[in-house]
Amino acid sequence: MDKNDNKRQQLISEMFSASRSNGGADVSAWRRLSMHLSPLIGESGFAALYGRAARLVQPRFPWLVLEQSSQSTDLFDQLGKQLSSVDADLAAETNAALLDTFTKLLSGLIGDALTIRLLNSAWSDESHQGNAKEQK
Amino acid sequence: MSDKVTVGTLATSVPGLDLLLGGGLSEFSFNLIAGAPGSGKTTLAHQIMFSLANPQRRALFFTVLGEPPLKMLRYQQQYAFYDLDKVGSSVRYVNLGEDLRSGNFAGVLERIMREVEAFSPSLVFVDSFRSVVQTAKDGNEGIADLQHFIQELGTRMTSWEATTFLIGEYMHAEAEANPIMTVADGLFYLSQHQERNSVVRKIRIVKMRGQHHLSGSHIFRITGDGLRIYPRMLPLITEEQPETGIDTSPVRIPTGTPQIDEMLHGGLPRGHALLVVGPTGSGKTVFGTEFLAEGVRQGEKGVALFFEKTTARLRNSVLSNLIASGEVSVVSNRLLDLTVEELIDDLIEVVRRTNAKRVLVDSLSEFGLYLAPEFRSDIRGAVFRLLDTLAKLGVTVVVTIGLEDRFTELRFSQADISFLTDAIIALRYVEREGSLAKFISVVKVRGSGHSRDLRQYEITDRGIEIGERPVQIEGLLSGHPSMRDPG
Repeated sequence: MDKNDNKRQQLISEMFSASRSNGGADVSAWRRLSMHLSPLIGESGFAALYGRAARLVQPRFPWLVLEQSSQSTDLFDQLGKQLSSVDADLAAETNAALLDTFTKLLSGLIGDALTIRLLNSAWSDESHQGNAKEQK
Repeated sequence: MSDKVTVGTLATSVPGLDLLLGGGLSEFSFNLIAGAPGSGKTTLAHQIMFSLANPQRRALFFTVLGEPPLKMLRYQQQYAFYDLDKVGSSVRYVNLGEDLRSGNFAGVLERIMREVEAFSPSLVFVDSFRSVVQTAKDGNEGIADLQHFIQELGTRMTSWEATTFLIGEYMHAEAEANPIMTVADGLFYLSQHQERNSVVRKIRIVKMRGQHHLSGSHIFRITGDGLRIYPRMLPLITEEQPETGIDTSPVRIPTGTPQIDEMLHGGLPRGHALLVVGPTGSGKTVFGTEFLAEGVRQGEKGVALFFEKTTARLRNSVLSNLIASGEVSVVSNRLLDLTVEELIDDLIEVVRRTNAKRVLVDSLSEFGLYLAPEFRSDIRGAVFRLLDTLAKLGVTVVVTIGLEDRFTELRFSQADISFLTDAIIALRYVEREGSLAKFISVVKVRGSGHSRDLRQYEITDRGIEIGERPVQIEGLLSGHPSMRDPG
């Protein structure tokens, strides 16, 4: 359990350091995750899980305004805006906390193995593609 | 040589299903898995999918408005067949919920085709198709559009060389599932039958084009390994019969009670089923235990199938020791909604695994207590299948039946079970000189002579001890015995 928890957190931090981020306000990780996960659990399933994660981290980051939408793209636009409005470190911390909570919830529902598999395919594929484009 | 098209079949590893389908799934067929909620449709679909999917034969699973996909992933993972390594590379899930809600059938079809073209699957699943059909009834789209949609989906999937499964909740598949029924090549119908408190799951292949499938309902159970189907049929004789040809002088095996071997003219013919019938306390289990113990002495493993209450065998130290030593295996059941198919399946498995030569069934009178209520009315059919299976396994069997003693009647079993066995030994009580004496006789041995004596016996610490000579009394069975006239 711990090992898988570590693996999941490691993937999150790797993803953060790999992405050519515009600071902590980068929501591309969310978009990539959504691209892989929404076909699987449905757009509304994704939005519901995101809503729950946001509600769980909100007490730690009271400035985070909870958005209601069943469209993940709307949610990420809003999140991006909110993250840009605060200090980069705080934004990064909030984003990481959200991702950690979201993936933890997902893992509780569909298991660590499948979650890590999904994160791997969502983030590693895209970062490879990103690198390939960069090399051109 | 024939120029006719050969329909390829895919062997699913769902136990029993391929036999039901007549060899396996028809390749590129368009199938419907129907049944009430909770009947095991999604599980069957997943089991088929995971058994067949590999990187060369990919599977695409569309979820619609049925079970929420998150839950489906959560619960299906609990089954042993769910192989996480296949998810992503060989198995892909796609949620169609939004497409169906926002669009029309044409939109849904386009989405399905887009996903199919992107992933090139050989297997396509749509769960649950009922929700697609409901859209037709409630929404703007009419039944005619639905029919067109299904026809189109069937045509496109077959052209894509994909074997397709639609999964839908239908209580009465044949009446409700039109128009899918017409288009579908195969229809699997799953159901749960309740009688009193017992529920028995059944599967029926209503239709399977181009294949000689087994008709009728067949039992299945769902365990941690998924579905296990028990096709309702007798085993093949060629597969199991160890000796071919007609046996004119069968090998005799000792029963463990020498005087009985003598009465049988040299022991019990190997492969026979011997019925030991008698009232309570007459020594049926003692005889059965001796039969197994003798087998062990001869180097033959045994299997005991118990329907007696479990504590009874704990008090039988000979039997307990045989079981503890591993020479005798026990098949027993704690479920009270047993089906004959499951019992036979367990028995075959144990006999093959241990290479057993002797089987004791003790006792058939309690057998009915373990069966699910719907099978209790046909004990004779159940015993027939049990004994037929054992005969084909080539084992020698002793079955016991407890029968209340109706002193003046000569009955050997309930429900005419005695006709199903090869040999019969009857035990009974008779009043003699102011005490209750026990008498034994051999009633029949198929294809062989045997003693016709009525002999007195005792049960001692050494087992059954039988008097050397027939009793000199007449009219024992009439209830009014008298000393035989020496003249």
